[in-house]
Amino acid sequence: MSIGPSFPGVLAGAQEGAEWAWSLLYHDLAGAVLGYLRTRGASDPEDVLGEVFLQVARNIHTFQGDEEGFRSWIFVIAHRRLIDERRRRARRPEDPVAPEDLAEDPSAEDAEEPVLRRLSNERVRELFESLTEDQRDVLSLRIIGGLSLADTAEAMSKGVGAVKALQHRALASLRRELVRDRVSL
Amino acid sequence: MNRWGDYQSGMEPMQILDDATADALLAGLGSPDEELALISEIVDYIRAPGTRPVKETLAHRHVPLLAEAARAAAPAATPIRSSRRPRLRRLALGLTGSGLALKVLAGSVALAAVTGLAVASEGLPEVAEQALARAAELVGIELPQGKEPIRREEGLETARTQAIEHCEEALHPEEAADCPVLERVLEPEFAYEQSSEWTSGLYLEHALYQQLRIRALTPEREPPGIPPVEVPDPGGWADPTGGGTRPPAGRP
Repeated sequence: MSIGPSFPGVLAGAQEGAEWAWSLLYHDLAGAVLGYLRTRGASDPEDVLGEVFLQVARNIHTFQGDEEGFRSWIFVIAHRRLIDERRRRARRPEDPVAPEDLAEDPSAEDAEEPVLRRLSNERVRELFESLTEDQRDVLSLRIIGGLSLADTAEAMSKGVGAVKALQHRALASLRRELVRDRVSL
Repeated sequence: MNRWGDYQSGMEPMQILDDATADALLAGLGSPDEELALISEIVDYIRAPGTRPVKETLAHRHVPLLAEAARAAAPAATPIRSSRRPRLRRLALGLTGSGLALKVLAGSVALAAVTGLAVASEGLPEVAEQALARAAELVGIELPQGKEPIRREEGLETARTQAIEHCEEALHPEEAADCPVLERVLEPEFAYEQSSEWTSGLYLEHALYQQLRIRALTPEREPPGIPPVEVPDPGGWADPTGGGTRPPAGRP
């Protein structure tokens, strides 16, 4: 979902503190941000979501750009808040992502195309968790946030080349695991 | 370059995906290649949580606070004072807080303790002390009062000056109209709003000054229901009923 051509007007309204504008922005983006925070193991995703949007509200008058840029900006903030949260609970191991938080049961989600689903939820989660934290960050930002390589690099405070390498390694790792699965069958 | 032994027996060397293929995969466009199609399933799986809408209860809680935070943070024509930060802190509490009842309780205890300390240590001006004691008495908290009543003109002038100075420091003039006044200190919700951040008791002091400032600057439009500041009044200046100022006794 996106706001589309009316985005500049919505942004202007939000910058002035119009509730209707904030409602539109929130409903457009909060679900994705919350999904990202859940997938990346935030201990209290709704709490972090509030922090993310509060920071957005505080700084929205400084934002200039289009809808895509706004989405990237929010995910940059979300990722940094997530890092802050990780630091706060650095002594605690990362909570594994609960199956119900990562995805619904695919068979229930897409009943018309069950044959296209060949991996179990459990196996998918194992594969995702077999990646390094940075690799998972890259994939989550790119897939859930829809960020470009450059925006992902900015969010993670890394170079574009480094992010591209992480992405390639992540995909190669997944592919390798899938090949192993096939060989073992 | 790959060498013999780089890959385990029976495994094929991994081909590095080109950028276009990787982008297509991550965008959920799928692939005719069987292995890549399996990766697409993983991609779909990762994407799924982000496609769910947030709960409406959460949206109802967050959206008004975000709009208010944006208004509070918007650049003003006049220089922004530091007073905007407490307002944003309150909003932050509303956005991220949980355990309301616990915070109300903790806030009430902290507020009473801190303001009691402030009064006991004569940290507040006497006018403020007296008003505070009067307010606290209403909710059953006994606070020590000032040593002696302040003198009429000198006291009020001092209070007025301090009120103006402190309120100018503490509150942006634009916000004076909606600034909470002393009576709100008695509201549990208000104690909750302030409890986590205003543990120094500064807010109470600020509220008192704000009340005084309203009285000093706009006596005709004093909000109703504000507990009057007790100033001994042998005949002039402050009208404790909230009727504004009047000339000293003996003058027309």
